[in-house]
This record gives sequence, C-alpha cells and structure tokens, in this order.
Amino acid sequence: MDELESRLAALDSGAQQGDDFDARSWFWLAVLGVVVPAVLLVIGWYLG
Amino acid sequence: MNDRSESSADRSAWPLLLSERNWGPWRLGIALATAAAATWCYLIGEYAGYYLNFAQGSLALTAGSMIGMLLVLLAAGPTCIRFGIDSVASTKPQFGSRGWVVPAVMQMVSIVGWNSLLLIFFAKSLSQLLRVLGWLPPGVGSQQIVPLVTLAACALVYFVLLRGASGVSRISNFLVLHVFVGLWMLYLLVSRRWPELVSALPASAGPDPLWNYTTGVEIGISSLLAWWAYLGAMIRMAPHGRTAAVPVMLGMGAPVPLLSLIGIAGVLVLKSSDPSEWLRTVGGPLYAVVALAFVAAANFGTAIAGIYASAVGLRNFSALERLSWSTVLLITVLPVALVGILIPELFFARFGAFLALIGVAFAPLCGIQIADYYVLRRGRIEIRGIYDRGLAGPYGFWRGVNPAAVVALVVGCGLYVYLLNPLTYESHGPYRYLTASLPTAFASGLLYVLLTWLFVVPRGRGGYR
Repeated sequence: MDELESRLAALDSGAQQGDDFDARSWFWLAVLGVVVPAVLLVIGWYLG
Repeated sequence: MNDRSESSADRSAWPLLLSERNWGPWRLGIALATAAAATWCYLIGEYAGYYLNFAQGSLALTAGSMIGMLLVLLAAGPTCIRFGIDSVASTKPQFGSRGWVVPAVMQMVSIVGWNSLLLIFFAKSLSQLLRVLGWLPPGVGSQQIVPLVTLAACALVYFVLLRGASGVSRISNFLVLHVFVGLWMLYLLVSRRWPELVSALPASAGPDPLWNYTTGVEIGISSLLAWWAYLGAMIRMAPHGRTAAVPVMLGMGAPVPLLSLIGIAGVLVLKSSDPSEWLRTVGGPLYAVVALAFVAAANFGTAIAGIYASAVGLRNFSALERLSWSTVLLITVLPVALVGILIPELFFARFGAFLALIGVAFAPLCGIQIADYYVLRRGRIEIRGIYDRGLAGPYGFWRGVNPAAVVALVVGCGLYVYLLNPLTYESHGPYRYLTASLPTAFASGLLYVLLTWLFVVPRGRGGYR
C-alpha cells in the first residue's frame, strides 16, 4: 500500500500525470473519426 | 520508487507514472495493430459481405470502424492516458467504488470469449497447416490436435506475458509483419478476381438499400466498440494523449476494416471469408500454407494483448491485487484454455450469439463515460478516489454503486436490442437512419446526465463539483 500511496501522491501533484488530448490530437480525432467516415459514407452511398 | 516497482507496475492495476510510460507512437501503434489484426477481421468482413457489395461494404465498414474507434477512445482514453490506468479502473468515477465490477465482468467475459475463439482458430489453423504439409501422423486429426495446440498456445501466451507489457511489445515487433501478409492476401484476391469482385452481389441483402448500408456501418461500429476492453491496458503505456491519438485511430481502428476487406472479398467471390480456404483456390497449396501461418500469427498476437488486458483488469479486484503476477495470469488464461480443450466445437457453434449479446453493452458504456468525463466532470477526475475502496470516498455513491450508471447501462442495452436484435437482425425505429450503436450511446449518455443532475448531484454523491 505504501507503493500505491507514493504513486497517488506523485499523480496528485500533477507532475506525473499524462496530458489529455491537445489541439493537434483533437484535430486528428475529428479528421479520422468524423470527417473521413462522413466522406466515405457519402461516397459509398452514391456508389450503390 | 525502486527498480523492482518500476519494472512490475505494468503487471498491476496501479496507476503508471510518466517515467514508466515509455511507449512512443510507433511502439504503441505496432502493438495496437498486432492486437487488432486477427481472424475476427475476416468474420467482420464476412458479415458485411452478406449485405453489401465490395465497394459499399468496404466503405461502410471502414467508416463504421473509425467511428467506433473514436467512441472508445473518447470514452476510456482521457482517464487512462492522464493517470496511466486501465479501462476497468477508468469506470470507477461512473459506476462507483464497487459498481465498477459490472464493466469488469463485461471486460472479462468479452476477452475470454474473443480469446477462446482466437486460440481455437489458431489451433485449427495449425492443425490444417500440419495436414497440408503432410506432417500429421495417420489417424491424428483436428479433434486430437486442437485441444493440444490450444493448451500449448495458452502456455506460450502465459510465458510471454510473464514479462508484462514488455512481453506484449516484444512479440508485437515481430508479429506485426502478419498485417502486411494480410494486405498481400487482399491484393492477391482483388487483383486476380477483380471482375468477379465488382460484379458479385451480397447473398443476404434485403430490399431496402439504406438498411443494408446502415447494417454495414453498424457492423463496423459495434465490432470496434469491443476494443474498449483492450484499450486502456495498452494506451496507459503511452505518456500523453497526443502520443496515443493517431496510433489508436490508425493502429487499432484502421487495420480492422482493412483486413476485413479480405473477408468481404472472400465471401462475395469464393463464398468463404477464411483465407486459408480460398488462397489455395487463388494461388495453390503454397499460398494456403502462407495463409495458415498468417492466421496462426495474427491470432496469437491478439490473444497476448487480450489476456494481458484482462489480467490487468482483474488486478482491480482486491482479492487478486496481492497475488503474484504469474498467479493472476494463470487465473486469466485458465478459462480460455478450458474452453479450447473441453468444448471447442460447442463454443464455435454458439460463438456468434455470445458475441452479439456482449457487444450490446459497450455502446451504452461508452456513452456513459463520454457524458461523465466531458459534460458532468469537465475532465475533473480524482485519482485517489479511483483507488479508494471505501464508501466514503468521492466515488462511494450508494454502497459503492452509482445507480445512475447502472440504470443508463441497462436502458441502453434494452434500446440497442430494440433498435437491432443482434441475434435475428430484426430492426425497429430509426435504425435504418442512425444505426443501433450511435443512438444507444447517445441515449445512455443523456439518461446518465439527467439522472445525475436530478438525483446524484443534489444528494452530494459522486464527487461532482
């Protein structure tokens, strides 16, 4: 439990936390997860 | 932090510190791609090929897969990435300090089911390979080989994973080559059977083209939603969101639809999605050997990732937290081994129904997590609360369970089955316009938010500010 406690203390301080998605990440998530699928869906529908 | 703890943290459900999260985008992407590419890709493609031709099936499946991957990443990704925890631990702010058992069981059942399938496929492929090569003794068939090979595969997985996440990474560096073999197989089929491929009609397409198209998208979404069970354990090895975003979308989201094209093409042209069957038709016995070796490698790599994720998830249980990693691994591998040894054919016969029902729950789960993190908490998560097993912590809710999450999950499952019965494919309501997963995720998230605002927050539960 000391091990866990020291980890939690380190994370609480913020220095050992990873960063959430940043602007560049959100750009690529939007492109790959929304824009590209939307384009593929439109193309696929008109190919049918 | 001593060296022993730094080297063993990835074999626990403890949060990993930045210094321990040393997978860069390429290492993460390779590990994810190795995990993603497996026999299930052909099955996913086969199901899409029942309803759509090659062009539409490819595009619908790819679009659905990328959407599904995005949902999973938005659901578990932020908490797992920020705090170095796995998917199960990420559900504690939503389900409570005891209620997280529900997603944990979902994860365990899903991974055991998938990995039993994969290792049985691995054993069958190896058995077939030995037969094609003429290495099987007389009188020895798959009934004898499959249980033995499954046991051997489980043992190999066990020994690889004794190294924890580094075992996953090392084996991935080698097995990722099979993804390119898979693409080569796709190239073979497309290049040699192109005229048949473009003219082939799906066998089970209904009269409504929109329904068929939406079904192709839904197959992609729901298939990728199952990655929720695997994702956290893998991406927590990366330090930041920007390290993981593209590798997840392209490393885990893209290989599935790409390799699923093999299944679509196979079932449309050769009435079989299994490349080991049709490659012999396309390229002769040597190609069949290559296909079988590919299937064996693909499934083995994915099974390793799955059993690792499941073992880390089990570490969240206090009874298993203090056991040695080797013991936890054994507990994780054992159900898979027992299925493969005792009931492989029975499991095969029932597998489709099993997975269809399991998949129903991941859409509402993702909706709940996305709503909680982005709408209700605005990203404020207390890592101490996640590891507080008591009932007085921020995620204690009512006796450790958040009824809002449970209700939203149950209602979401019911809504999914109403929109699209995964066993019969009978659909209702706006399914043909919206799919089943997307409205389910949205509705579950919305219900969760409403219940939280109306009942949870006013009572001071859940650590909401």
